[in-house]
Amino acid sequence: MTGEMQAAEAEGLSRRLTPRQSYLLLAAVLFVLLIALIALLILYLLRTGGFTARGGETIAGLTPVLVIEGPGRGENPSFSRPMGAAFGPNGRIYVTDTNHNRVAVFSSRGRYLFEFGGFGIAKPLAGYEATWEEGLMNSPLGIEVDDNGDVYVADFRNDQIQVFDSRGSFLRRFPDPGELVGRGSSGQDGTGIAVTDIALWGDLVYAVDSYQVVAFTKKGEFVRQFGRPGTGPGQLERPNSIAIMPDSTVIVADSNNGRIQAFTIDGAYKWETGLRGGTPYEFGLPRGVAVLDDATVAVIDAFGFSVVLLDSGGEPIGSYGSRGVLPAQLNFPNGIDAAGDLILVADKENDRVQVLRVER
Amino acid sequence: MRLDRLERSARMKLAERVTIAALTTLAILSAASVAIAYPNELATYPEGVPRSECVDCHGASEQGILNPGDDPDLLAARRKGPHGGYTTGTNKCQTCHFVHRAPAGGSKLLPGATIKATCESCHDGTGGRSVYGTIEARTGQPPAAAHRVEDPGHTTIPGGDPSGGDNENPGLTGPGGTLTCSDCHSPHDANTVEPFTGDRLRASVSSETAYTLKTNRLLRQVPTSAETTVAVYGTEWCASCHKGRIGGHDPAPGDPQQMQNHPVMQGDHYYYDWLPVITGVGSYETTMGTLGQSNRGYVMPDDPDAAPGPGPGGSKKTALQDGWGPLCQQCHEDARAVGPTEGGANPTLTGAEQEFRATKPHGTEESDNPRFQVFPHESDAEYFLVRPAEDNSLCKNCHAQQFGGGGGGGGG
Repeated sequence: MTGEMQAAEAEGLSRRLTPRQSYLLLAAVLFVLLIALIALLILYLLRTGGFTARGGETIAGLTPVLVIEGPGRGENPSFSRPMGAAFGPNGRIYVTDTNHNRVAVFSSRGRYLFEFGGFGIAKPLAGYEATWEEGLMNSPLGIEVDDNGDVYVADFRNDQIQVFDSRGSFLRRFPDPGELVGRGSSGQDGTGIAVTDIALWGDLVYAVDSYQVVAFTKKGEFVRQFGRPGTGPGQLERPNSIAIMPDSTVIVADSNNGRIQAFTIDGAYKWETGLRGGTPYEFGLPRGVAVLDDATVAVIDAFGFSVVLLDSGGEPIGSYGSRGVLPAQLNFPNGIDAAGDLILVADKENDRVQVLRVER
Repeated sequence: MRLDRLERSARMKLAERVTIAALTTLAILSAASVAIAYPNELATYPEGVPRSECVDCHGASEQGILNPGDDPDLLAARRKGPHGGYTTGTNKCQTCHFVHRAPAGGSKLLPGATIKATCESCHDGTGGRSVYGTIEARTGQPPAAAHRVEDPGHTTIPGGDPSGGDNENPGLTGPGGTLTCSDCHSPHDANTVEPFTGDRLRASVSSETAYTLKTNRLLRQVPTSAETTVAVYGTEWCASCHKGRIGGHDPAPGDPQQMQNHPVMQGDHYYYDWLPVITGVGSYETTMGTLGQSNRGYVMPDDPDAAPGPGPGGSKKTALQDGWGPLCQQCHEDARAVGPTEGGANPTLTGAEQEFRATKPHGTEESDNPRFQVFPHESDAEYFLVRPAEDNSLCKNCHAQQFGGGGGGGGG
């Protein structure tokens, strides 16, 4: 008996782990858990959410990279006629969800991050209450983000530009929507500016309103304005978009004149592309412009359901895109921005934004 | 023998085919020669024929065929955008219509679920005056008055019954029998009224081209429910739907919707481009002229020195004004102020022209009305009235003297 017990005890001892072995085992388990946790974290960070899709077939020269239809959560999970979109630092995507009076922010992978805005009236009629508070919007259209992540929003029906920091906190607004701007302004009641889009150049903010370009400092001080109503060279008719090339040429989508016009940074007329003069090209309704890294001008033709590329002198390179609801197809597109070889399009009537690659 | 026949038959078929092919080729070439006969470089315009007529076939925007340049007619045609100027090879159709199935399930292969949704795809306020939504954007509340488009519950036309001025349910074409954009407008510019040769000044118009380029606003000559054809915009056009508002019928007791002794009389012809207008700032003199580029005829002035004429209290109309009544829009329109914008929106508003305001007697005082100028789409005033009906301020626009008002106004 004693001998058997001793044998069993010896066998049990041989099965029992030494402290070193136990620690090693515990470390291994923790390591595996850590790996799993990291993997989950990576998957979480890379997730796109239920209202974002990636990839797709190339159609009519456009390859879909990312399609975002909204935050996918909250009171308004889907966009409603988004009219502007911009890339920010780290590839973040900013969308003016016009009918919802908000800006929605997404990661470069399309993951919803946060939003800011809400409806507010800055210029009420006599007898009505001004409901505008800092950060509230009234039909936001164009949007631009500077290198610091500050966000500039064209607050269209409030006749002003609003500036937010990278977290969406209100910083300032300009011009005063109740004051005359420069030699004249197009806002309601003749004050403020009915701003449709914004472009940044150094410390300056260029904006387009109903018939002119107005430049401010980033702090909101008036600098200059150029353009007047009309169809002649340098005149504008309801421009909807503005962009600035690396050589400081100002590009304006002169929408109702069906042309693209170029100006110097001081406002001198340079060239145009359209049917009224300059380089002939028939745009249906140019509503958005952006400049690619190689100084190619990308134009959104809302009636052509396409992206038209022009070289830096305004010569047409090609037209890309088709009408439809599939990824890479467009339905009355409006705003556009560019980063690298990618473009970001506010695909308004499809209630979505798309990151696309133009297959030239 | 049989083989011979077969060979002969085959040869004949071959000959037939060659002949048919030759004739077909000849026909194609003949047809093509029609086009070849008018190459671009030879394109000329017959003497006396407006170039704008070319647009009917060619389309004003066709590159290389018609560069509108500064030709106002061509510019006007160019501005039609997708609304007209179609050619056999036009691609304008697909601006608004899908070829096969429309994704939103709407009718007529349109991209929107309804006509209104389709129109608002482009008419979103950035391309010119907004038609709907401007009131709410500045008040946070629905407009007090509107031609309510695709609004459930609004399926009748006020005063649409010609026999008594009651509301009429005419079977409008929007969802559920509601009014929709195409009840009044023809998106294809088909059978539309003549362009307004005497259009009013609008403070929100941003281009001087708007003053040379007249637009018919794509208004149908025969809107839904109309039984008459109206070729020129004016009171008669409004009355083609609001039939019971014309004619001075007996009012129905207790029906506030019904017009009482309405001054707009049937049988008169009121157009924007030919009616009594005041001659200058502060003047009570009138002349026959156009409302174009001013509002000087908007409120018909009274001459305080005129001898009383027929009617209660006597008519103060001048001899020139006798026989003329006001336009619908004199009382039913939202925004008449064309105030100075200091080099702003309206470059032709300079000097004395700016003084023509229209919502107070004689058009000499500044208006406090908003300048939405989207009539007849929506207004912040009930019934689209230019002034509130309470406290008789609307009435005093014209009947200032009878109500003890100042401004030198006479009672009408």
